[in-house]
Amino acid sequence: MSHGDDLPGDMPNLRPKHEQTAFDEDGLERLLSGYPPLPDAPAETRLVGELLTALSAPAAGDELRGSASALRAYRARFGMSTHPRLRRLRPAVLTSLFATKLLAASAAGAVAVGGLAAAAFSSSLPDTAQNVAHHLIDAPPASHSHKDSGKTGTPVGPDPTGSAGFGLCNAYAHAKVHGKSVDHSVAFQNLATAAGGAANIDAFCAKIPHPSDSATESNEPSDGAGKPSDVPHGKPTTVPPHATGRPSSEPTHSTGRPSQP
Amino acid sequence: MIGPDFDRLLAAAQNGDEPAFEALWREVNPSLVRYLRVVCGQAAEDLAAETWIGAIRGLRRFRGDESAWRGWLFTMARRRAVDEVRRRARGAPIVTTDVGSDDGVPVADSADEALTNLDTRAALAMVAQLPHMQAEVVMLRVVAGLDVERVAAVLGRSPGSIRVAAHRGLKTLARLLAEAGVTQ
Repeated sequence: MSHGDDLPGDMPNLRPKHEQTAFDEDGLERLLSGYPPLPDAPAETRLVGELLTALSAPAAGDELRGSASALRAYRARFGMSTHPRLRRLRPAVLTSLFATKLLAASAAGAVAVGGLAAAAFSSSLPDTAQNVAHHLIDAPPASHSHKDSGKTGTPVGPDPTGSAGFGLCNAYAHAKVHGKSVDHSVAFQNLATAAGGAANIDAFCAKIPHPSDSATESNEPSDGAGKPSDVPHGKPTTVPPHATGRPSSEPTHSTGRPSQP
Repeated sequence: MIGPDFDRLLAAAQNGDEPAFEALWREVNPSLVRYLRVVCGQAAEDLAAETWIGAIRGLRRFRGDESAWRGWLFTMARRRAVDEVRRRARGAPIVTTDVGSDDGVPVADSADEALTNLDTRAALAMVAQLPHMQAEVVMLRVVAGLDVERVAAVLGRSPGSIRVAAHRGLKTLARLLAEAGVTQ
């Protein structure tokens, strides 16, 4: 990481000491870039340097106590069985899980795969598919008022060893968390088969890599260079509060300010 | 700063590696909290936590080096601080309390603290006495470790104005230290 612009670096201050002002611009820039003042710097500069060193001193315990909640949020986002991720994957899961069932069901009326989720939540799928949707994505259960008007083929389900594996594992974890039986599902029977038995599904799923992420729901800065796309221009108007406290614990972590140029 | 390991840690964190994410968190969070304490005072830790939630949400799509990473995080933190200040302005009165104190009991004067021991909280208190722009610039340059251009991007100002604010901030700090009787 760059240590700033016009970095004075190791360059000694060549001005005679009697010509050095208390706030030599190079000296200030050196401090701002994270370096200690030169030994022959004016006393005022060295004093400010001490203050800046205190600003970037090793972390106190209270500055690290939010790690548990941060890790929970991280797990919720990246974990295998978290609801937010599952919600994001639901359309893909639906497609992979039910496309075969849907075609085999030959339901009355054509239902496009892309509209499958909507169909599931509007209880307009055939009973077989609707019941599986109920188990997997909390769609309403099949209503007996909806009757399949066509013949039902033999479902083969998705292939867990292929691209559907990650979605299947997410759906399995979700159903497991909610105590829902999936034994009847062809998809999960396939999953169990691929895993070498139902008892091995967890281990099998643990080896399934995350698919590449194409999330679009984030509202955070996202440009390719890491530069924020939504740079705030507002200026807080409050008067900064005064600090009076002491660190509650011993420093445990560095804030990364270099000690030497 | 993490340095050469940053790219590896970031890639791992983007792929669900929890220890890698924790390493990134531990490296930046103390700086975030300090920055937020200066610009927003209360609720600094809550705002830092909110910042991380946003970062986690966008983590997979983030691309950039460590400087860009820190700039991204501090931009999000600043946005939340601005929102918090506006929220307070609309509602409850601003109560200036101890920076980071658990008991909220004000303790004398920050200059007295500085006289006794120039520790981190006393130093933060000194910076918090600066005009807001100067305080932000000093914190982003020194604590966040951002260079002039990155700070300018975070604050939406020109690099020249950032340099001026930073130098003025340091000169004001020197004056405050002198007034407090702090000497080497």
